[in-house]
Amino acid sequence: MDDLLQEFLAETTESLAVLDVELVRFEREPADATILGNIFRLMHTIKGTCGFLGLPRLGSVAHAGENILGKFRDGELPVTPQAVSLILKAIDHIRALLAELAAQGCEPPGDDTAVIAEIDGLAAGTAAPEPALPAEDSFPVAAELLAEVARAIEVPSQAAPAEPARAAARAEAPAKTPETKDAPASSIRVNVDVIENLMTLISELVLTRNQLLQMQRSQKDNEFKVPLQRLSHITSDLQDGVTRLRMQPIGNAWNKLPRIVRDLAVETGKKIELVMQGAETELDRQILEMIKDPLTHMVRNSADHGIENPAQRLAAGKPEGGTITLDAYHESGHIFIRIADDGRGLDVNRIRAKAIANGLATETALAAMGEQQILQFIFRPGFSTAEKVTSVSGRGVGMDVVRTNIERIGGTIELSSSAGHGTTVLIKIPLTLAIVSALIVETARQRFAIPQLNIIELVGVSDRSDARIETINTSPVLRLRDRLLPLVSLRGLLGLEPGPGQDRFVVVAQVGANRFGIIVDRVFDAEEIVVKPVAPLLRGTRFYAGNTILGDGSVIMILDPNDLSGAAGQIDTDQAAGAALAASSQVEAQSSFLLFRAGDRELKAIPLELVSRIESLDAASIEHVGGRQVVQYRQHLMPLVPFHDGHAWKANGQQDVLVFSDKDRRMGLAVDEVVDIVRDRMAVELSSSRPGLLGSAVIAGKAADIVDVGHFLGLAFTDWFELSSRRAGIRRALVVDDSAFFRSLVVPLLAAADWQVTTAADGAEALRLREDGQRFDVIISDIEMPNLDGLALASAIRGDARWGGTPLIALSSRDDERDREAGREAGFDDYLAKTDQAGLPDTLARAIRAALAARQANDNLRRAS
Amino acid sequence: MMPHSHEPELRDSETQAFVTFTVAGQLFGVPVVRVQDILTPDVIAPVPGGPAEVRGLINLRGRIVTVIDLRTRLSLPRRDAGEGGMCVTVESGTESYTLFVDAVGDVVKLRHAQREGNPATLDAVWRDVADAVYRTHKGLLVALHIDRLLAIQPRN
Amino acid sequence: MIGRPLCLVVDDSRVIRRIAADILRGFGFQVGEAEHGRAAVEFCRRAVPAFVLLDWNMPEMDGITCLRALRSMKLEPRPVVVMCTTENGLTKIREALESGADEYIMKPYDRDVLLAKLEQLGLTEPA
Repeated sequence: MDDLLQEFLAETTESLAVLDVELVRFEREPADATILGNIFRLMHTIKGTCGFLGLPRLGSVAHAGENILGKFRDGELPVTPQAVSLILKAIDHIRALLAELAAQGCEPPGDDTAVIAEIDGLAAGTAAPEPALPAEDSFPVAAELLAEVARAIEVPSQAAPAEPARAAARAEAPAKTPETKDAPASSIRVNVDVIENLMTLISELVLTRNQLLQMQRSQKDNEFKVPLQRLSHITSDLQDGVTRLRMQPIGNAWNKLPRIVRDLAVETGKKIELVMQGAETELDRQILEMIKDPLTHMVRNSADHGIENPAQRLAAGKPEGGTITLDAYHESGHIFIRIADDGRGLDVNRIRAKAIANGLATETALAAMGEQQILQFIFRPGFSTAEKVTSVSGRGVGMDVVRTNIERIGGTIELSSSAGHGTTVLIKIPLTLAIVSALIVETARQRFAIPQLNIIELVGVSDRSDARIETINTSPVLRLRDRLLPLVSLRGLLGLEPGPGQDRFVVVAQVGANRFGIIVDRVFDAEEIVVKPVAPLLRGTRFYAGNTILGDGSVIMILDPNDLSGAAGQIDTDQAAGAALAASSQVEAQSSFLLFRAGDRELKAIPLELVSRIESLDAASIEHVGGRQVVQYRQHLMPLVPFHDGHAWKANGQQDVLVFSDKDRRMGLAVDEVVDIVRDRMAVELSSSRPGLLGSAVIAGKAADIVDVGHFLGLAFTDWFELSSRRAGIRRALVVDDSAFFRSLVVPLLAAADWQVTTAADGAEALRLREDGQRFDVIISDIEMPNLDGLALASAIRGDARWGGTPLIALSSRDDERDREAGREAGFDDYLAKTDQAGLPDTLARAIRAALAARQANDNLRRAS
Repeated sequence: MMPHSHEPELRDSETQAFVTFTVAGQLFGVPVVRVQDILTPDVIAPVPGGPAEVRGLINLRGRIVTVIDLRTRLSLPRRDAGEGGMCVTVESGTESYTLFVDAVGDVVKLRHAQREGNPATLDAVWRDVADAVYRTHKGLLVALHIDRLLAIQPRN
Repeated sequence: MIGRPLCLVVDDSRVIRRIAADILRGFGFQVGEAEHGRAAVEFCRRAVPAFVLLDWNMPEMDGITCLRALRSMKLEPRPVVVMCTTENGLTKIREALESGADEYIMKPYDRDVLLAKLEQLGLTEPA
C-alpha cells in the first residue's frame, strides 16, 4: 500500500480516537470553547487531507460533520445529545470508510447520501424524528429536546451558545478523562515492528550475556572479568531502555471507553459516569493489546448489567447516576487494574441456581461454600446469568475467556461483589513478559520447556523399588517419600510414539495445591528463555503456554503446567482458586481413593494419602511369630495385619499389601487385590457395625466400604499414637464436628490410644452434654458448624467454670492466619488443619499433649500462688 | 466472515505478478506482493496436538513462523521429513505464515485475459482456497487466495 | 547548501506536510516542517526561510496569530508567506492579507497550483 496512504490512515485513525473522547467531554461541557475548537480543528483537518488525497467520500462526510461543529461554534445550533450522536455517527462512518480504504487501497464506490442528509438535516434545523427506543425505558427527554430544536429554529445565530446548549438530558455519559498532556517537545515515530525486533535482539543479548557470565564464573580470575562486567551493565541498561520503549500508558486502552459508556447510557436510558484514574500508568505494549478487550468487556458488563436505571437507583436510596471506576497503579512489580461499579452487584442466588442447573456443583457442596466462593462460578465457561441477552453487551458472559486471557500473560483476576452495592474486579499483571527460567526436557526426541516456577524436584526413574512407576489400573503413580504422586505421561498426552530410552525421569511439579509428576525421557539444563505467544492458529491447542527459540536456534514449545495438572487426574483448579480467595476448602472436596478387595467381594476404599506404598510381597517371606505376621521390609521387621480375622495366609505366591508409615515405623495391611485409584467427593454413611470399617459411600459410581485406618494401626502397634495414658484420669475426649466423616476419622485415632470418645454434631449438642454434667479431659472441635459454631462454642466453654479449664483444640478446614487468630481469641488452645489428613494422628497427638501440659502448668501456677 | 475476492477491475492487458510453486504436480501461484521470502527450511519443529495443516514452526531470523503444510491443506497426502520441500513466507494481517510446498518455480506475470473462473469440477477444498485459474504455457495455474487459505480451524 | 533556498511548511496534519514537502523539494527547496504556529516561530528564530506555507487551523497557535508574530519579528530577509485556507470568502482573504500574508492558496492544492503561486511571487524559475 502507498506509504502516504498508510500515513493518512494512521493520522486520521488517531484523530478519530481523540474526537471520540473530546466529543464526550464536550457533551458534558458544551460551554467549553477550547474543546469545541479542538474538535472543529480535528474534523477540519481530516476534511482537508481528504482533499489532498482525492478521497471524495471521506471528504464529504467530514465536511458534513465540520458543518455542524461550525454551527455549534457560531451558536447557530444547540448542543444536544441528538446532535452529538449524529457527529459520533459521522465519525463511525468515516471509520468504516477508512477500513475499506485500508483493505482495498482506494476509496470504494458507494453512497453516503443517507448519512450526510441526516447530518445536514439537523444543521438545517429539520431534525429527523427520534429513533424508536426500547419500550421498557421510555426516553423522557423527547419533549425537552423538541423544545430545544424549536427554540433553535426560532432564534437563529444570535443565541448565546452556552446556556440553551446545556440541555437537561436524562441520558448522560460524562467521562472524566485525564487532562490531555502537551505533546512532548521532541519525539519521533517508530514503526512497531522495529521495536519488536529491537526487543528480541536485546533479549538474545541478555541470554548470551548470561551464558558468558556463567562460563566466566567457572574460570578463575582472568582478563575477561572486568570487560564482561562492563558489558553486563551496559546490557542491563539497554534492556531497561528498550523495555521502557515498549511501555505505553494504559490510557491508550481506555480511550474508547468514554464513548462506549456514553452510547450504552443513551441506549438504556441510564446515567453513568466513568471515572478513570491512573491512565498514565504504563505497561508493556503487548500486554496492553491483550487486556484491551477484557477491560472493555468488563466495563460494558458493568454498564449494561451492573448499573441500575435511575428509577431503580432512586428506589434503592442511591444517587440517580451510577459510577464505574477504572483504577490502575503499579505495585511490587505488578500492574493492578481495578474495575468497580456501584450498581446492583452480582446475584448470588441466581449464580447458585445456575451452578446447580449446569451441573457444576451439588446443593450440599454449595451450601458449604462462602458467598465469595460461589461468585467464582462466574468464571466457568458458558456461565451467563444475564436474564436476557441484550443487544448492547451481547451475552453477559465471557468471564472465562477474560480469565483465560489474563492468566495466559501470567496475571490473575479476582472478583468480589456485594448485593445492592456493586461489583469489583481486580486484575493483577506482571510487569514484563519477556524472560522466564525454564527446564528443558525431552520426550520422543522432541524438546519442551517447563517453567521453573512450577517445578519442585526431579526424580530419576529406575527399577529400584523406591523409584519405580507403579500403575494402578491405568493410572500411573510414583511413590515419593511416603506419598503417592499422580503422574502424567508427556508422551501419552501429546500422542507421541513410544520408543527406546523412554520414561526415565519424573518432573515433580506443583500448580496451586496440586502436586503431580510429568514423565519424560530426558532432562536437560534449566535455561532462561524468551517467551513468545503462540500463533493464533495454535491458540486452542492444549498443553502449550507459548513457544520460544533456544540458544541453538531451535524452536520449542513451552508446556502449560496448569493444563498438565488438569490431565493428571481431573484436578479441580477452580476449586483451588476459589479456596485461595475464600480461604476455605471443603471436607467434601475431591480426594483420591484407593479401591481394593479384602476378605470378600465388597469394594473397600481408603484415602490414597494415607497409603505410603502398595507392595506385592512374596508370601513365602512372611514370617508367622506368636500369632502375628511380620515381614522383612527395608531392613526392618514390618508387622502385617490381615484385613479380617479369618484371613488365610498364603504359603506362596504374591501377597498384596498396603503399607502405612509414620516416620520410620511401618505397617502392612494385607489385602486380596488392589483394584483402582479414583478421585471423587465422598459422603460417608456412618455405620459402626464392623470393626475396621467406618461406613460406606459411593465412590466413582461404585459402592465401597470405607476403611477405618486407625483400627488397623492400633492393631499393629498398641502405642502407635504415643498419646500418654500415664496420667490417671486422662481418658475422656469430646469430638464436636457436624461432618460424620471427620468424626469417624478422628474418633478411631483417639480410641486406638485408649481414649474414651464421645461425639457431638454441633456446638449446641456439646453444651447439652455440659448441662448433663459430663466432663472431658480434652475437647476437639470443628469451627464451621450449624446451630452453634466452634468459635461461639469456645467462648461459651471458656466463660463457664464447668469446662472452662478443659484443653480445647480446633480442627478445621479453614486454615489461614485470620482463622487461627480468631480461634485463639475465642479460647482454643491450638488450631489444626483438617486438610492434612495424613499428618493428623501425629499433629493431633502433639497438640493434645501440648494443650494438656499447658493447662497443667497453669493449674500448678494457680495452686502455687 | 471472509471478504470475497476483491480484485480491482483490471483491463485484459493488465498483468499481475505471481510467485509460482508446485504441489503434487499441480502449479499454484500467490501474488508476489504478498510474499515475504522463499527459503529451504532448516528444521521444522512439530507441534504435537496442533491442527493437521500445521506442519510445525520455524525460526525465521528470530521470529517463530507457523509452517502450513499445503498438501494437507489441499487434502493431498503429506510428504515425509526426508523428501524435501520449500517454504514460501506470506503475511496475512499482522502475522506471517510460511507455506510448505514441493518446489518453487519462477515469478511470472499473468495477463488478466488469461484468467478463467474456477472450473466446476474443482474439489470443494480447492474451490474454497482458489482465487482463480490461469491458462499458462506451463499448464493451468491455480492462483490461491491467501486469506482463505490460512483460514484453518484451530483444533480444540 | 549553496543555491538551495529554505522553506517552511506549517500544518498540523503530517500527511499534508509530507505532500507539500515532497512537492517543494521537487522544486529545489530545502524543506523544514512545523506542526503549529509556535513551532514555526521557534523555527524562524533559528533560521529564516525564504518562503513559508502557512496553514490556518492549528493547535497551540493558529495561522493568523503565527503570521502576525512572524511579521512582528521583522525577519531579514523578509520571508514570503502564503496562507492556506479551505475557505475563500472575502473576509478570510482580507484578514490574511491584512495580517501580513503575501498570498493565499486554497486547499487542496497540487503541484501545478503551488508552482503557479510561487512563480507569481518570483520565488522559482519557471519550469
